[in-house]
Amino acid sequence: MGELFFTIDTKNVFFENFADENVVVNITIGNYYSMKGSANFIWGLLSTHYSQQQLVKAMLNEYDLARDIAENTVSNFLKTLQKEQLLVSTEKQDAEPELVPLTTKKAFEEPVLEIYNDLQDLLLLDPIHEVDEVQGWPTKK
Amino acid sequence: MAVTYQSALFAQFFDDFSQNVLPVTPIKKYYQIARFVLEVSYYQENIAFFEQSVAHLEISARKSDFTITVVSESDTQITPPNAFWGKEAIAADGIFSSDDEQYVAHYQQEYEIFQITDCVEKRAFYWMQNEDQLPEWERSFSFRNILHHFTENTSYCMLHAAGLGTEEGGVILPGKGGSGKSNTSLACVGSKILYLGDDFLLVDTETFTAFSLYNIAKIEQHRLPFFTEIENNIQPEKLLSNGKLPFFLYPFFKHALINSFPIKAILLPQFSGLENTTISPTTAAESLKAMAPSTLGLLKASQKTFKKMVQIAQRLPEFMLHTGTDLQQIPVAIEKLLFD
Repeated sequence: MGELFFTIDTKNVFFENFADENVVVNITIGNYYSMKGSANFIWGLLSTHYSQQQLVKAMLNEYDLARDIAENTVSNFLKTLQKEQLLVSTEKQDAEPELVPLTTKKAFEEPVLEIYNDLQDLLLLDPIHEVDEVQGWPTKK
Repeated sequence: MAVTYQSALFAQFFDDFSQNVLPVTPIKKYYQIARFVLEVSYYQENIAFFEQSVAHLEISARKSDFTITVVSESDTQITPPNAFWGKEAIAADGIFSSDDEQYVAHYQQEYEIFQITDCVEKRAFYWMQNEDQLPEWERSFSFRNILHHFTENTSYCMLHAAGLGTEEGGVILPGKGGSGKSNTSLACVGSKILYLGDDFLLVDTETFTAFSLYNIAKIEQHRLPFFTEIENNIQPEKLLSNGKLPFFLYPFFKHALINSFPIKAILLPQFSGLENTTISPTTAAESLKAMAPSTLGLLKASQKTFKKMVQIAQRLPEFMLHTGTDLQQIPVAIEKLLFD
């Protein structure tokens, strides 16, 4: 299998970026999230397709940090986002993202992802039960 | 708009349903919902079931913007037409939408409720086998999903929030169940701060005006003695499984109700456990976290509603309301925030 490129599953994931925090709602699994620190930076990149390696490169361009830390950070964060079903992936990318080298890099901040599952019942309410196999609508009893 | 094969089938479904109800004479009622006139034709004996929660919005007969036809099969023997869709068309949440999003059908098998809405022509059918089987929220928040569909493509946003204020201005209090919306709202009954709603309201995202939808209130049974005026004058409904007592503020407390106000701020209630009620600033992100997940979940709302909630969170100032044990301080703190 070739390299995978990840992006946000915008069909099922709603989000908004505020000054220093992204608020994200996943209607598929019923969780919602708060993202802070470098999680905001990575999430912003994922509005278009990025591979894991491209995310590492972008992190090294943005932050003052060692390559191994960048690799671990991206790898762990991507795994969490995938586990939470926030991303979709493809083997194709329209165009490789261009990086503008920064003269001053930012101090690295750990990606923070707070996961809230207290409203799963609400977000996943009313599952369909025992609908008539043929009609999709109950027949008279 | 092009008429697709599927939308033609939906249109036929509406026509057939209209034919099915013809032999029965309905009771018609009209309600002012924000700037819209809602006409409801009840093909049902006990119209109070849906009426009570919106009775404070009733107006005389006039040209309507929205129409809902309510049918109780047990009262009228009226059945819906046969479905033209199969099981595979229905999403996991029981919803079947047309490709062009004009029509939304929602079936709740557990309660035998079927709702179908034409979001363009603003007409809907609400069919139930028997109202005795309906869950309490269908009575507390009459037609909430249909009203959400009617308004989703307008500047209006139905919100899971309480509303408190005066004609000069008010606050909305979003938050999941248990966050303190009900206690805060009821603490204001009898004060200068009027009651717009406890759980759902409508916000115009162009003018940032809040509009009342329902006059229902709920309180945990053990807290009722703290609200003596309510305890002495209201006949509560049946106790809910979550330990709350629902009751309607209209008509007895109609003087405590308000139908609309310009929104001055968002307040996020949180019980402090201390005696005093205080207010402190918070962020738009906290506001969105308080309003979006439960609104999206309860209304099965889409990205459009989420974007409107983002607008509301970004536009309005937001504060934490740290509610204390001295309930009389709550309306005073809100009044101070609004008018000082």
